[in-house]
Amino acid sequence: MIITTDNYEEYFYRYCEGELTAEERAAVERFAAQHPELAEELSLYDPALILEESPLPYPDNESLMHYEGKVLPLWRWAAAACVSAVLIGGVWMMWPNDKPTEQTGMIAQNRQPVTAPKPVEPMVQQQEEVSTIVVKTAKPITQPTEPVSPMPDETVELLPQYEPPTFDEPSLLAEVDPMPAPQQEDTTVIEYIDIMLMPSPSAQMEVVQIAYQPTVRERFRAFRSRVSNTVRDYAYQSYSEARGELLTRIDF
Amino acid sequence: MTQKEYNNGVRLWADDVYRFAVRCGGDEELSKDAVQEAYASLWEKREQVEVEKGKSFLFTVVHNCLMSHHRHELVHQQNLPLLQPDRVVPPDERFDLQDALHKALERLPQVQREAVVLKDVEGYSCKEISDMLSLTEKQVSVYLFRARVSLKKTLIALGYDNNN
Repeated sequence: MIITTDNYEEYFYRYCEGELTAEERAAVERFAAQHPELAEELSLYDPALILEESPLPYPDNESLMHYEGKVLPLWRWAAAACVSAVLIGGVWMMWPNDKPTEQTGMIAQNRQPVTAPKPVEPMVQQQEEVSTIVVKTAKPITQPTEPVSPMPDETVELLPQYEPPTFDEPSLLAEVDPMPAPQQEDTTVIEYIDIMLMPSPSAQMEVVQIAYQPTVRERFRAFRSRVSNTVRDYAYQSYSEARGELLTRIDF
Repeated sequence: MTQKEYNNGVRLWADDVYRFAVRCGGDEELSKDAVQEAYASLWEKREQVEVEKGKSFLFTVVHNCLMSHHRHELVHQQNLPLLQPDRVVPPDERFDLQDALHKALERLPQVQREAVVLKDVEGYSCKEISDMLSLTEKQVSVYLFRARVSLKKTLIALGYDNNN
């Protein structure tokens, strides 16, 4: 491996990201010692300086969708179902309750004639009159003169049975990635070390971004900037050896 | 890629692709056009593009759109002078670090900006970034190194020293 002024940036990047062997690192350090003006760039490189982004939603996802044949978007099915429910509910509310039938005529024959209500009087007297009225108007229960025919089935089923629309793609939501598990609020030195021993920086950051809260991510970055050199010294050993060695050397 | 997978791709990736276009292109209208063109291209080639490669395909198309639009600005951006602080900003007046990083990101050349966003925000490896941006892995490493050094220099110029 020969480092020159034409290719030093690649090696400097891999040196800072912990991707070089011990021999390659020594070569980079020799090159930096021989070129102090370039060594300044190496000192400026900060692997803990990671750009973060907040979500930025695209304003009109629907315009990007494609639908072919009879498949309609889910929201249109939902809108159609709402409109249908409103119309059916309105018809149900407005449907008359006393529909004229044969039984109505029979009931009319047995009804008592409507009498004019008595004038309102003071409360005490009214209570007595109410009880009196109840006693006076109560009549013994008599058997109907004619048997009452049962309600025809047609009067019960006044409205057609509502059938909700069937969706062509019922499992759309199920195909979307499930919500990620809750992020951990804190972690330990052991977990930091485990992350640092992962093969690549991108894999490390992926774990940090998915598994931990933003405050923990900041602590991890600070941890990484402090111990990255130490980790590189042991990263090429076996995992258990490196882990055991780092636990004894790192205090965070 | 089926139609269902394509529509799922819209729901899952459109926001990230749009954010990438805005961060690297700057103009919201241009970014919307780039995203629409990317998805139109993905729809046309949906039978050749696998689902696992869909998002990177979109980034590639957006990159090409932005590059063709900003090609005349590349030379200008590379010649931007380093920020010279007119005063030392006290700690209580400094931006949040991420705000300062975004300000510094805007001063990077187009390709370096895209490489940093794809690496830090989207989590792609150098190999994946090289495929998307039509570069070699070595070139991606070099661009990332230069970008981080430039970002650091800009942060120092904005009043952020090594201890903050």
